[in-house]
Amino acid sequence: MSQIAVDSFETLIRDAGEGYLIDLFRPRESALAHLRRLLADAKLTPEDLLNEYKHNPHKVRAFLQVLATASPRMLVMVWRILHGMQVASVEMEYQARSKFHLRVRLSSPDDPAGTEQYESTDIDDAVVLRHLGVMKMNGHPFFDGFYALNLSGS
Amino acid sequence: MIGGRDVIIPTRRGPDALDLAVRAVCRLWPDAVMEDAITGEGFRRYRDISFAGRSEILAFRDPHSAAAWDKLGADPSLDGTLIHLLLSDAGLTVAIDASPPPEVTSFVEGLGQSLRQDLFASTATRKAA
Repeated sequence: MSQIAVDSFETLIRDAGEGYLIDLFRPRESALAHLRRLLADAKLTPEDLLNEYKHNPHKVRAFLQVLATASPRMLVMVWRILHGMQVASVEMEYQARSKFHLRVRLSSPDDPAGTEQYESTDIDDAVVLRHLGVMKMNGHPFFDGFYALNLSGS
Repeated sequence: MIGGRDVIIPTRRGPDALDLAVRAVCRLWPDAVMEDAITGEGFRRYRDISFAGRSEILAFRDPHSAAAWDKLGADPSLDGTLIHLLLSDAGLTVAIDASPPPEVTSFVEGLGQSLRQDLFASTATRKAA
């Protein structure tokens, strides 16, 4: 990857208000490489984020907030929600000291039969639940969208 | 939309608020047709919308309603088929008919409640990579 691309990625992160991802990482000079590896594990590239940032910076900001915490599979799920997939169901099982299991099923608004399922047994992945939009319409519950938290100082 | 009313939902979340409102419209009206009220650019799906710099979106209930609005304008026969979303620094304004159908009323109430929740109002602590 070129130096220009690396610089663009750092600029994006800082413009999005998530510069702490770089500044608080140790050693700091390895932060971008680490973040690129996390993206690659989720089959994404800095260029994917840069392209999305031009059109929807708020979505990229939300994604960056879980990049360092969520597993690659859950990052894929987040990316899919950001691109229009709807949250069809969430099941979570938790027992202190012994068990965590999260299962999320996404559906396509264009094809209700087109579903995708994402599972995790790593409690770090519970972080994604904090970012889901919560709505009630006609008394019916909905999780929809994935949004940035209002981080202090950002 | 004759004699409509504006419901102002205070929020400083900008594009997040407009994004959530559009997603909510798509839940309310799965066949909705959306249009940028300023540029006239049309969208059939949430994922087609670039929210950067966008502040006003018209959501028609379905393609038939959108076509009828084009042809008739604000005709009483089209009551309850259009929701106008307008983003400003102060909040999100949802313009609806004066006597909207119950599902639209519920939509506005649900959206307002959602935007007042912790996700859109609270401050969390940062975490390093």
